Amino acid sequence: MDAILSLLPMLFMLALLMKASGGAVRDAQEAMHRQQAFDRLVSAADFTIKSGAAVHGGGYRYPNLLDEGAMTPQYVESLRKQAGLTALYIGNAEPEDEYPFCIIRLYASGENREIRRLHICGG
Amino acid sequence: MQAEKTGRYAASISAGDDMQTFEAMMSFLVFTSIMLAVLENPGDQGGIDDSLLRLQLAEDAWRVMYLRGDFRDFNGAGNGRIRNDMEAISRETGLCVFLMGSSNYTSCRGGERHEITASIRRTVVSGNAPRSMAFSLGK
Repeated sequence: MDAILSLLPMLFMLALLMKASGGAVRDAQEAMHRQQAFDRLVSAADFTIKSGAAVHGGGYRYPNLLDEGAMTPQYVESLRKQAGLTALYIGNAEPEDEYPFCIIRLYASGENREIRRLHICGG
Repeated sequence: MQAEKTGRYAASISAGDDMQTFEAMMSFLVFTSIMLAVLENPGDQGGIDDSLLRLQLAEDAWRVMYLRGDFRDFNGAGNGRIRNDMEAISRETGLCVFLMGSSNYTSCRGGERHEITASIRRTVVSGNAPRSMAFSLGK
């Protein structure tokens, strides 16, 4: 009886170690994938703000001064593919669909350079 | 007499064995309960590092104010336009804006404890002289 009661904890301890190491590896992989997807979304947003949708003129581009007409569905789709994202939303309004990540960026728009908020969501 | 002694000895050995078994069972139960608690714990999922995004958002806020001419002939954030823009940025982002230079200004209520989430340092021209200031976003 004593031998069984001593053996069982050892077996449980072995199972615990295996589960803990497997779980740690799984968690690390999942966290890395989530961080990579988030970083890709942040890069896509930064590109849009600084170049992709920025006003160009006279050989200059104006980061954070956006041409809202440049953010067409074709532009968004092209950016989604280049960024390696499975879904991407860019717009002034909050998206109706759910996305793994949503971030906001600020920009100025129009003659009066009104302060606007851009929602960039995806994953 | 000898048989009585042997009987008592055997009884004490049996009682000792029972005690050891009881202790082993108690240890096993305690260990099992701790192990189950550890196994049930999903562990820390790990948060997303958004430090770069926070800096970019601070840069956005600065850049938008710059594009609107808020820092042209800058003489402090006392003028209404800068204050209005700081408040507009706060409304859009849900964050407080802090301008810290020779004078300090914030779009959020003073006297409350705020946490700076991102801070950038910029130079503006004020009275033909460069003036360094910290531009920050916080909660």
